[in-house]
Amino acid sequence: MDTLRASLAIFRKDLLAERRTKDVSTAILLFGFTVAVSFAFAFDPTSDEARRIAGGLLWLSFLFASLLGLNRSFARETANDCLQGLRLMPVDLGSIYLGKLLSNLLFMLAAELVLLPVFNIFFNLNLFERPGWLALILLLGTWGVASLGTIFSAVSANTRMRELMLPMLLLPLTIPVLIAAIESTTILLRGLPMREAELWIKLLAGFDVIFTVLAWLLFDSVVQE
Amino acid sequence: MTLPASPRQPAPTSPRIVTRKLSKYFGRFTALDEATLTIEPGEFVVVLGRNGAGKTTLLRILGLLQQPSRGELLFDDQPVASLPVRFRQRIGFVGHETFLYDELTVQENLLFYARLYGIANAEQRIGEVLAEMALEARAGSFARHLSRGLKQRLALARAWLHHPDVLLLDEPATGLDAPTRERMHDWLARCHRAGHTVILSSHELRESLRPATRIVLLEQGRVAFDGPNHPDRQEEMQALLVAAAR
Repeated sequence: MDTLRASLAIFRKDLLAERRTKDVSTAILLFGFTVAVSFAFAFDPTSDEARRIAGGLLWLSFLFASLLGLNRSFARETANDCLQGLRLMPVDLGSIYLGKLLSNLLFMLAAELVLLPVFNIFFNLNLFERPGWLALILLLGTWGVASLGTIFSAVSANTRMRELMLPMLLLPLTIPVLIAAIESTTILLRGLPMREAELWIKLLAGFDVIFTVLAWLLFDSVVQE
Repeated sequence: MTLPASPRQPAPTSPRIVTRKLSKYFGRFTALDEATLTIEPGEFVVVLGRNGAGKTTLLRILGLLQQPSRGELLFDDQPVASLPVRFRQRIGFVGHETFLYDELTVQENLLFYARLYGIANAEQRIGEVLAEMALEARAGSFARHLSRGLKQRLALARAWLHHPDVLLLDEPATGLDAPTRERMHDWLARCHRAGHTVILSSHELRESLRPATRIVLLEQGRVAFDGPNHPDRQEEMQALLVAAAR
């Protein structure tokens, strides 16, 4: 109960701070939009080939855009040494991770919802033909990136090369999530039966649960001293 | 700050704090060297020392923000490792940094911490603390717009929000003007009279001695002096401390 209460307090605080500063959402949106437009001009958006690779392009732009947002996530906690203030609280430190994960997940999903129509138009796709499946793949893929991104954002927050450290830690480990998300999105975009994506979606869900539990358990040692 | 006696708050049950040969190393640098202290419930201890003497390290270890490299820390004879996470509820800490979010208002900062502390009637408690720190008029101001002194008062309000048994203050007078420093010492004296343990670090000999019941002098990480304070014999105390520091 204490964990849930503390996680929600952190989530609400991040939401309020983001509403004021808009630094995470602006970074994700601007970068995502630039990548989407660049890809659209680099490839012929009407060709079948472009549609075949659109899933990969979509997730790559989401991933790189998210990096900018994730970099800001714990930067907010390092100003005025607020992370130390959180360590004084009579709550499990894992609840800080869960609260930050929730807010990162929300910011990333919100930005993706804005970027999806951009991809839909530029690549001439039918992204919203099966909205339920699209929502599930987006949620699971973004959760995977956010679960790892949140803990590595905390790790890199106190290092001198924060901007470099986060991608160095995050990118190699997100490869399984990225592959599963790209494969299932490609199946969705090509109009194939979704049972072909079943394995990839289960894999995504599995990675999400494992990464979240591991990060939650390890967060305590990440923020010590 | 105009701290009224807080009749609605329960009397504190401050823990007995014992450090046994507490040491802290940062690489080859010894920040704290076998510090052994017993702080009884309700004491007002001033930890004095020059810059780098180990005051901040000692307070951070007592505040459970840092682990000692060697030695033991006990609260009511319980080793720190065996204490539940809820124990942190009994400690209030003011450090060099304010732990405040610049993009939130004074009220929102306190509400955030009140939620983490699980304070019932948070709004009411925040109102009380703001009144105690004379910050009511600034409740809607963003923390980033406050002066250094006002931020420090807000940091004190944050540390006092959950009515902790033990108040740990690392050079809290930094950035405060003389009248505010005076009022802060009066406020701390009242906290002490109400039964709270107050441990304050300072390098300002004259001002910080006045409300203290006990003085600990750190010199290069070691306890160079540990004894009762005699507020009526300030000159004598200061001479004693200067001699101990040599």
